[in-house]
Amino acid sequence: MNPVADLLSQRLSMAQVVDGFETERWAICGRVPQAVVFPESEEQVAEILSLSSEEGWHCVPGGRGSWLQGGQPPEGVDVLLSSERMNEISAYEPADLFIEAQAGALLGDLQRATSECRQWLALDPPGGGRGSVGATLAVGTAGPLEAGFGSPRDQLLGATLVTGDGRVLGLGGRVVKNVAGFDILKLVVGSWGTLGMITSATLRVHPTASMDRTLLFGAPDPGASAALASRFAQAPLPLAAVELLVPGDEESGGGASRPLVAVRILESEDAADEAERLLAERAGVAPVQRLEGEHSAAIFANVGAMEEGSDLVLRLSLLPARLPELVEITSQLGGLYDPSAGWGMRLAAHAHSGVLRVMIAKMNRGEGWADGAKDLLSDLRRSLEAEGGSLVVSQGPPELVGLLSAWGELGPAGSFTAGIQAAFDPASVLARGRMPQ
Amino acid sequence: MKNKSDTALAAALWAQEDRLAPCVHCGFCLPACPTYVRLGDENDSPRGRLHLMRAVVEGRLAPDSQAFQTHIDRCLGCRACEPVCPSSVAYGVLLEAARESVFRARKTPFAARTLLAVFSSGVLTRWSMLLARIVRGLGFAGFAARSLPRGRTFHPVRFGLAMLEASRGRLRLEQSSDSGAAGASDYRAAGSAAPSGSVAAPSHGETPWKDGSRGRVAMLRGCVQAGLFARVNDASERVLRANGYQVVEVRGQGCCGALHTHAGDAVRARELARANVRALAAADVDFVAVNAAGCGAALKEYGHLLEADEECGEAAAALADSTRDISELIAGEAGRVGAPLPARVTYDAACHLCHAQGLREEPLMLLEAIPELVVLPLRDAEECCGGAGIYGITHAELGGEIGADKISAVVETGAEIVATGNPGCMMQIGAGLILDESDVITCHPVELLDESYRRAGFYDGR
Amino acid sequence: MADEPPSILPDPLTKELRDRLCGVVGDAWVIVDADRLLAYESDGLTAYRRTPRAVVLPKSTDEVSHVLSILSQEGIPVVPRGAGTGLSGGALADGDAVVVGTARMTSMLSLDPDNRLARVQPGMINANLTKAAEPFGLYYAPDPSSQSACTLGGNVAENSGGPHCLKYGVTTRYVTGLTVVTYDGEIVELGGFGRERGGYDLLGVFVGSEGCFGIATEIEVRLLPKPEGVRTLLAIFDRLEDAGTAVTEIMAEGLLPAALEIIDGPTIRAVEASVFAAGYPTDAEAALVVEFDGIEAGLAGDVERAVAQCSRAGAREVRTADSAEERLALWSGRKKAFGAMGQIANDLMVQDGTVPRSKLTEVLGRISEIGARYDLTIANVFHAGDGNLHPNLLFDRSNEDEVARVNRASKEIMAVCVEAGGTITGEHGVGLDKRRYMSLVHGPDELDAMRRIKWVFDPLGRMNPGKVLPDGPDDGKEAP
Repeated sequence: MNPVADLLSQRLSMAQVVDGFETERWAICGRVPQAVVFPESEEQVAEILSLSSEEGWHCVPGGRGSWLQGGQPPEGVDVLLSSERMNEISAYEPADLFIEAQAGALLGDLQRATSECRQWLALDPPGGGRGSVGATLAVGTAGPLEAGFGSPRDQLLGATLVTGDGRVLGLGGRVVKNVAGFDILKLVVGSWGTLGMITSATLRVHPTASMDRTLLFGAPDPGASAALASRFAQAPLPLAAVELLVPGDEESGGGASRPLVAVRILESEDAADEAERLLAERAGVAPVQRLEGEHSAAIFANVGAMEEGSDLVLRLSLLPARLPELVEITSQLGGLYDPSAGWGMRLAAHAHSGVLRVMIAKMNRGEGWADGAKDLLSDLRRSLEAEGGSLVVSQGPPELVGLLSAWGELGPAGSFTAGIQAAFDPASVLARGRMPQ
Repeated sequence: MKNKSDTALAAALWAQEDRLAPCVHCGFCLPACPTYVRLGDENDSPRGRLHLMRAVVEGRLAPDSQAFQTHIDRCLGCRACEPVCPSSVAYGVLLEAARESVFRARKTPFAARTLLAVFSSGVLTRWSMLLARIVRGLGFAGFAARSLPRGRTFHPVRFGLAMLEASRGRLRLEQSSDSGAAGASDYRAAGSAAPSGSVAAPSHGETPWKDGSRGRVAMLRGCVQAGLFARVNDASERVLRANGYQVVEVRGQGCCGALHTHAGDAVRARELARANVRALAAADVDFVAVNAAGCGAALKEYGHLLEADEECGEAAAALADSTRDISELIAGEAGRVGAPLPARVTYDAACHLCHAQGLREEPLMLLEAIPELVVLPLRDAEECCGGAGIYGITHAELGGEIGADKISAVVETGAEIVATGNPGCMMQIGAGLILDESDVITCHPVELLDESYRRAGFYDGR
Repeated sequence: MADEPPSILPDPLTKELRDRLCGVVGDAWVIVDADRLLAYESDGLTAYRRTPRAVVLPKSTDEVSHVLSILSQEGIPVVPRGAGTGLSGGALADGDAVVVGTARMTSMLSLDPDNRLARVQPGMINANLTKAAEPFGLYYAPDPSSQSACTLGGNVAENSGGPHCLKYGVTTRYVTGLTVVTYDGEIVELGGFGRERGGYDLLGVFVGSEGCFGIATEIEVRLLPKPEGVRTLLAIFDRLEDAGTAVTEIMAEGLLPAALEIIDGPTIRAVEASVFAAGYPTDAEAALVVEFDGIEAGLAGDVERAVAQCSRAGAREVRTADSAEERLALWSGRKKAFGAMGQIANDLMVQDGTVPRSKLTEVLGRISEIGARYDLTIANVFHAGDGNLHPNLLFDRSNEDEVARVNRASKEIMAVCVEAGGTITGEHGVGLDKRRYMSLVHGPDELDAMRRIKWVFDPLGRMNPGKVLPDGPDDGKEAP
């Protein structure tokens, strides 16, 4: 047993600490932790973090381990804190429209529990239902449902956070309207484990609409589909999601499959019929397919899970009305990937927020590929930023991620970053390097 | 802080303490106030002014302080704050009390004092109105107003001349050979061919209502209205008769005193009010018709103004109850429909009609009932035009800014005519249009109805 | 509430300082005359009076930046103020602070219908944004009851709610970007739509910071398409509990109304006795307003189900409205309630606790018990859908004993809300008034964490000092 694991097992039970080869599946961009710990309570999390502060270890909250490669890799990983053993649903009040769960509970489990009361959570992060509550919030990335329901930050009512120096903070509450003090809960969402480990969260639930309907509209080419998606996003209708889907080069056997725009409607049946009529009128064509109930939910679950197996995932964005331009820009990425591997490159875009995900199955790994990709993506990032947009490397091969930061420059607002970290994690033990400075 | 002289000065406000109490300082009035919207200083908002009044009542602020005088003075008195107040604070009444304190505390500027003195005396009013008509009649007021150099020095004169010019009846609609086409050809500015200022003798037109069956009506002739806008009085009278009212002549009436009340000269205001109560109450009429919004609002508040008056108080309240704006008597289903009047008009809601009297629909109904008259909506129609008595002269800069906004709103509509129910507003908007070299004509809504009736032949054979 | 004796007038600014400020914003917009400062001694909560040292009214981000750098060079604290409609005393200047008001910053900077975005100055009135967006079929969703007067800058500071938050969420969901000026005059951009940023959600934490972090000088917000249709119904109940049941059952039906509002018996009677009489029966104990919006075709079904639930819960009468005027009539009793109460009582203390929806009936019972115990009239108006209560405690400030009872009752009401799993303020903010109740809902560690975050933005502790955080050993002091 290595000294880190050794010391930790003295504090916790042996069964809660793992070292050696078993830690390899918890590696983050090639950084294998010396120990993975499975705390069972807030107190244990606090103890581990206090110990790490004393010892100067790098700690990284790693949830259930399904999203470790995302974002910016930490400088080092001595201890990885898993939330696997904190996975209970601690409270669910259907009448009050909230559910409270420990960080390690899976989104899928929460959806199952709430569906019994004809309710649901409007959370659909990349990765789908296999993600944990804690990771979903720590990453904070929105999925297609942001159009109708807002992003994860809008679903979070309260959370317990164990800070880097071992304080247990109860933030927010169980009610939607709450302005008692500064909203520091917002800092936790998207903090990538750098402020503390989220140990439990209270989330909003929504009543299930009587009709869940997805309409699929076809378009001859990506440009036309992007224009159609924008038109739908500008429709004066309360749509749950408008997602543009451009299949990869090799999908469905050699370019036969066309781009699609998937529009999800969560309304009463009468309203859904009317929305469908108006959308078809707007599109000038009828939908190629109409999916209802679980089929409708399933297609969006697939949209959530479609990043899986990607070598590189980029998130490009501009103002939503410029979605067609954004799709056009992806033609510059031709040299990055191997079109014969897997699906080549596929695209998915949230038409309301103007975020386009580029998923590459396998990157072209020729001579100097990583530097070439870095140059290409840096140039693209610069040009998008100049237009008020952005390029995020959501996940990528370690060779590339080492050269190119996941996010762009923060600008003057970055001057607050160090102060915020110091407020929660004065000894800087948590996921150092994960946030842009 | 409180001392005897302050207390005496603040007496008028003291008396209104109960009316100050309902203000909960919620701030709903701020965006409704033309001065706050333009200046951004809460002292120039209704809530701020009420707070200053409260401070006077509490003895924390001297009524003769610069702050109190400046900010109370700067109020247009448009009362746009009243309809938006969730607590129904009687701002107008409180403002009058505050003005009374201010008036007592300091010397009113010479010009304003002279003006008030003139309007308090029937003789002086008639002479000065005659003089004004002579100047206007010479036809050079407009020219002079336009040719005087712009800038602060000449502003009062320039604007005053323009106002005088604006009081001229320019409305003369002519029957078009092609009456279907609304356009510039359908009317022309009549210039000096306007009716003379003399009060026409009462005439007896035929009406579908026998013998004035809708009631006996006395017309408040007013001071400025009688002097410079006699044509509006005449038109009102004709229109009333055509609608079945019996119009009776009431002598002994004079200026309504609104200008004095607004300036804080409550003593003179009450004197004038008493004279009118005596004259009009004796006439035994069903209604007192008023075609000047400011005067109408004043008459409707006589009950309050003379509430402490043992002799006239009751009669004042009765008079207030029987007072009607001309539009109230004519608009609606019972109103008689005249001949087509193809033209484009826009309607500016005088503050003392819409805010003080709550009359929003009636004047519009009156206009909309005229066949072929296109009524175009005016942006911020219920915002003050900046006229507010002599505000354009006393607060040239701010009044000018408020006025300019109104003028651009009017021009924006593309209307040929702007109708408004108050002489001050007609002159303020008219002057602005003249100085802006705009062709848009200003008139009273009743003048348009009158023209429509004339074309219909309702007055023929008289 | 029940203020300490009026503070001694603060020192006026030195002539040199005044000249420098005048040089930035113009003479008319620097108010230093003690008499003219009176108008700024209260905001929407008149229980407090605090005279600022001066009021400065800048016109642009640059002017704000200049003003703040001048003031920070002198170490003078700054209190931002919008329209002064807040109900927690958040815009009052304590001690030697200078008010920096946004009343002149009312412009629309850009309106982009294609991307459903607007960028405005902070002094723009909430309702004016919707008015400007209307021609494009868009509107701004958060609608605090004071929307005709409150400013968007104030909404950002307070993270304001409103009746329609039940379905649409509060301000923070709609603010996509801010330009802020910090105490030292630095201009910082936070967020911005169309761009995914790494880094902490500074925008999110700034919204609701009650002017303690800096002054927002430009606000970018998301607009929504105007719903195709709106339906409103009004249900009258003989028992408040039954109205509460109806609310629970409507939600359990899976319906999501745009608004669910209750006014109780005492409020109904206050409204009916006022000039705002809305035709509610005065012997009723609750009136429930339910509003649905969305796609026209779906509304009839929603209304039908809601009516059925109201009837089942024991409504004696259910009125529905289709036209805009009818809707207005149904709403009028709710909307005018506050003003109506102003007419029956000299003074009014409105509380703002929030409780989980299912605890509404229980908490209302306890509030009425508190009212009885302290011999106070408490009239309730509340956003039932999201559990946000507005108990109005009626009193007369000249009655010292009554003032003390209002104070004690207020604290107990807040404690009851917290005990029920709720919080002390749902939308009015903490400001000056509720900071002493903060420890009812937050522990020392949470308060400390908030204080540390304030120091990140305002290390000298001079932005809106004495607000939000309770008096602690370090309150309002410099960061260590």
